[in-house]
Amino acid sequence: MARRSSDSEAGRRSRPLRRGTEGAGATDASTPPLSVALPKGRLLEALEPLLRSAGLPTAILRQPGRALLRDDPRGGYRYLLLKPDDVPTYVEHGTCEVGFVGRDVLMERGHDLYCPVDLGVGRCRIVLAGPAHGRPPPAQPRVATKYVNVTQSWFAARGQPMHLIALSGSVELAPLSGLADLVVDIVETGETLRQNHLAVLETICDVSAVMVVNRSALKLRRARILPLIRSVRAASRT
Amino acid sequence: MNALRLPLGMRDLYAHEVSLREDVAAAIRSSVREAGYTPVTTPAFEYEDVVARGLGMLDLRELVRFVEPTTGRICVVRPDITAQIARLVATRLKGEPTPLRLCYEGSVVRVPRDRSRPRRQLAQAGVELVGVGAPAGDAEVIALAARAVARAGLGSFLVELADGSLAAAALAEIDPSAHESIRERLAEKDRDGLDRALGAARAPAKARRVLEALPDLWGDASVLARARRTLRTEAARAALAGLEAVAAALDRTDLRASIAFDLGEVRGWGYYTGVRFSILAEGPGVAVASGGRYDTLLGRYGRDERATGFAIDMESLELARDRKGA
Repeated sequence: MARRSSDSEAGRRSRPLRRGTEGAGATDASTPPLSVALPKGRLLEALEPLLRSAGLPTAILRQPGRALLRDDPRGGYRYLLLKPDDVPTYVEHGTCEVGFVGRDVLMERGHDLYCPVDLGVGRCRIVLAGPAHGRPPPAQPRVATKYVNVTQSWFAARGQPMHLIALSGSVELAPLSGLADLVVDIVETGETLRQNHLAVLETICDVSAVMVVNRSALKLRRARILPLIRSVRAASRT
Repeated sequence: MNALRLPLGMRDLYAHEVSLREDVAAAIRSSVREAGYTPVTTPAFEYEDVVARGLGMLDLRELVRFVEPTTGRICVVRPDITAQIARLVATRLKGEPTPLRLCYEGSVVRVPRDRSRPRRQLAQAGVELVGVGAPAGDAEVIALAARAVARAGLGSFLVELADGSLAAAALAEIDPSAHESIRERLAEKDRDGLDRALGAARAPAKARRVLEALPDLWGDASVLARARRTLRTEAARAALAGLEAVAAALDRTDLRASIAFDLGEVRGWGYYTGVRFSILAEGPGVAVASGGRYDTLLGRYGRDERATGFAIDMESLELARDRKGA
């Protein structure tokens, strides 16, 4: 990270010019903890063993309770437990230097982040699904989804017209209740679809958990974040 | 009150907010005027085709546009001031001898494409240096940017040098339809995704070797030596020599900040042709200032001159300054 100065006029006085940032601040006891944005819920359960094997202290995450801000007692890490959709927001603003989030979230909302590692855990698919039985969908189907952007660009790329119906959850209900003809949703095993009498028509894309890093933080806290990227990458390949 | 609300991302400043902005602006202004830069102001909106001539393909989603009723032509609220100054230099200032040193303060408007950063109107202060080539011109404006943000109260920061021509030269050997996805993966430093995109594009081996190396080629000066061993193309040699020359020229200035390099940086305006840079500091999460060399932009407006410059993002600078308790 950039060198600090105790002088308020820093940057204008003569200091020895030094090329490079490596090592600076990494072992400094006064270094603030690394803030890590994590998605609450199912994905976190899939992530936790991998983070642990990458050397992140995760005991504090396994402790029961509803605390959303969890500081590792040794002071190296601060975890923020967030709604998955909000992970990129916290990291983009630099409130968290690092985050872990499903690629579906990144695809849907657009972002300006580094995504150095695909962890390969929490594997799911975004699929187009429709009623398992019954008539084929009309030429301009009504499509219910919470992935509004992914759905629009997928249909647009195929030149296929449709009516988009934006929902925020329980998307499977839409065809059952007659609100929509088809759904675009994320599936892991497909069991929820089956129980709601839906079948996968096409896979739109595969998604899994991704490590994201704030653009400035990667450079400013290189000595801290680069080893973390390397160990997360190593852990995700074993 | 809701009837009187502002569009998303627009805001008023009042009293101490204005004072803070004025203090920061005054510090930057005094730094650039001392360095011999002459102030210019450019209009809030222009014809889109004129702006696009400089900026290249504009992402329509990021622009505020409207049709001028009297002419039917499309106008765009300026998303960038550098292209406007290039137009000014090639038209009204075409008889002025180089080097030309110009500075500006003003707002640009960009519609953010994702919802986490709703800022639309970005207050900027910057300079353009026309007619001075690399590396002297680059070192002059980079040192000036550092001096200006330091005088505005920023205590510690990192100056990062980059050069997009490495990636551009490698991309030129690949089917253009694959460029966007390759650029996106490069910008994300997503090694695996880049690998897949290069495979899907059937990238030739030489271009592939360069592009695959870029996500890891960032950090301190050792990156340049590492790049020289890995990348043996003509474009790589030229880009590395250019970065080294600028770093060496910076050594001879009053710059006292740490310098880092990123050879895989591909974001930013398409008009950059050589060394570009950003000033990074803790707080805002985005660069405090950024700029670079654009030796072909003025030519697009009819005056073939080399040039380089930078823009400071006032709000980010204020955030970074607050963080330091300045």
